[in-house]
Amino acid sequence: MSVEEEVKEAIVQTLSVKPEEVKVEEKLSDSLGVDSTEMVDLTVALEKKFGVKIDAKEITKSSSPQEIVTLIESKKAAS
Amino acid sequence: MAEIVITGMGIVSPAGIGKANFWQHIREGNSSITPITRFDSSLYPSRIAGQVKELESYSNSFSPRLLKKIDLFSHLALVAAELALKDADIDLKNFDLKRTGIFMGNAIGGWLFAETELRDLYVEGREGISPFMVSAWFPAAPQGQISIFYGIKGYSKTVVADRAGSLMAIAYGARTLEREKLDLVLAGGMEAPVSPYALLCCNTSGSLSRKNEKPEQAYAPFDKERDGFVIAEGSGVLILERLDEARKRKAPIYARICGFHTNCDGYDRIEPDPEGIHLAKAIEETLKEAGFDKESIDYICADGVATLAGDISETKAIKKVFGKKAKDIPVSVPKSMFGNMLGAQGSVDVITTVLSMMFNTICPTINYRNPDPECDLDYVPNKARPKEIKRALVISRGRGGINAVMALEKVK
Repeated sequence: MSVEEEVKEAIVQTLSVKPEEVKVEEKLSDSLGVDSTEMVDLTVALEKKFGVKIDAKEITKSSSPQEIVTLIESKKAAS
Repeated sequence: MAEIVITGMGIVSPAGIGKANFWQHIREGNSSITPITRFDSSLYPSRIAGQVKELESYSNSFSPRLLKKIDLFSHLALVAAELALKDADIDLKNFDLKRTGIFMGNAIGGWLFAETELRDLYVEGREGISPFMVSAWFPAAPQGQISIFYGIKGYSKTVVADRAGSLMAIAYGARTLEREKLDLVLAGGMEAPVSPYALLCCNTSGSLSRKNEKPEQAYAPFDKERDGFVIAEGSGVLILERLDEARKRKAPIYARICGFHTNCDGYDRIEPDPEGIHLAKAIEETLKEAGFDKESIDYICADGVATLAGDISETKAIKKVFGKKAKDIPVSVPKSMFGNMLGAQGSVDVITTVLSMMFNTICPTINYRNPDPECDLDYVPNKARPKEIKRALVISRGRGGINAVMALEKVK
């Protein structure tokens, strides 16, 4: 599974949304209306899934899934 | 109190969801109290409860995404609120949401959610806790969730007063309408005490029945063999409006809230004042505010906690107020059929009483077999009774001697 697919899966599972609702290029706040507590939930889920540390400032409601993928790929490359 | 009327009722209870199902069940005098199935409760002194069934079939309006963030008690309240709005034939688009308010009663908060998270705190550490914990467990969470779901923005309040919370919430909602600070009120209560920690807390009060072998016979208010009440989960929500506005929009008008009073015994942390002096005073003050003659009361929906001190003091209070006529007034405890919903119970008792007015039928106190010489009123034992009810009282009491009484009148 690619990082993009895994990020999408994490979003679908933690937010309880349908896969087709996840828009890769759009901000999470615009496409899914995420709130701050959902962002905490998603960040923790991504940390567990990829075994990386993510600072709360690195992923926000304004991040798109694509930006999250880029961030995680860079963290994985650095480790 | 000015002309404040009930125009909608939503109920989620172990005896059924929605007023038609609920009424069908309680008028037949059947018990819905069963052994607790949600978790292993075998080591608890009292391990029976009224548990809500088929909640999912009434939850289509609420997304899985929302439901995973909230505790069961908020879920129960959301479903009851939705049913109440539907029953009142209300589309909130036609109301000013800044002049709509929410008044709810609760006793113990959202422990089903909180307990899981506390376990995670001790097992996994700080990072194991769900970020939704902060907004899921506290007693005002359902008020917040209803407000967010419907966009309601007017003055709102959650009342925590043990088993008297929701009767107080309804009264404060009615008073806020009376002062014209709001035009529409959703008022009631919700409780979800069937969780390991909440059940433990309820057990330590020493007020719960231990007749675990015969759950359906356990809750026996005013019976000589009583040994306490049985807890239940559920929610009741009423829609309140001023009479003139309700008439203008041709709303179904069920009953008028005519009076309310609350006070405290100042006696003990669990037991009520054994003489029921302050409960009697609360009944007197409620009648005075309502302008009701004592002779005009057709029915009393009692607190009926089924403890020795609770039953005797409530009986004494009613006798103190009504004198010789007390024995002629039917006094019943319909919740003996489905359990006591604690902070939600007052709202459910109001719904039961209003349905009794609509159908000219008093629901019984079940499990009444052995008369207690100290409790000698007409408790409407075991079988529903036809009777026209124009005026009624609802009594809610809480641990630590909280008394609350509401007067209701049928609207023609």
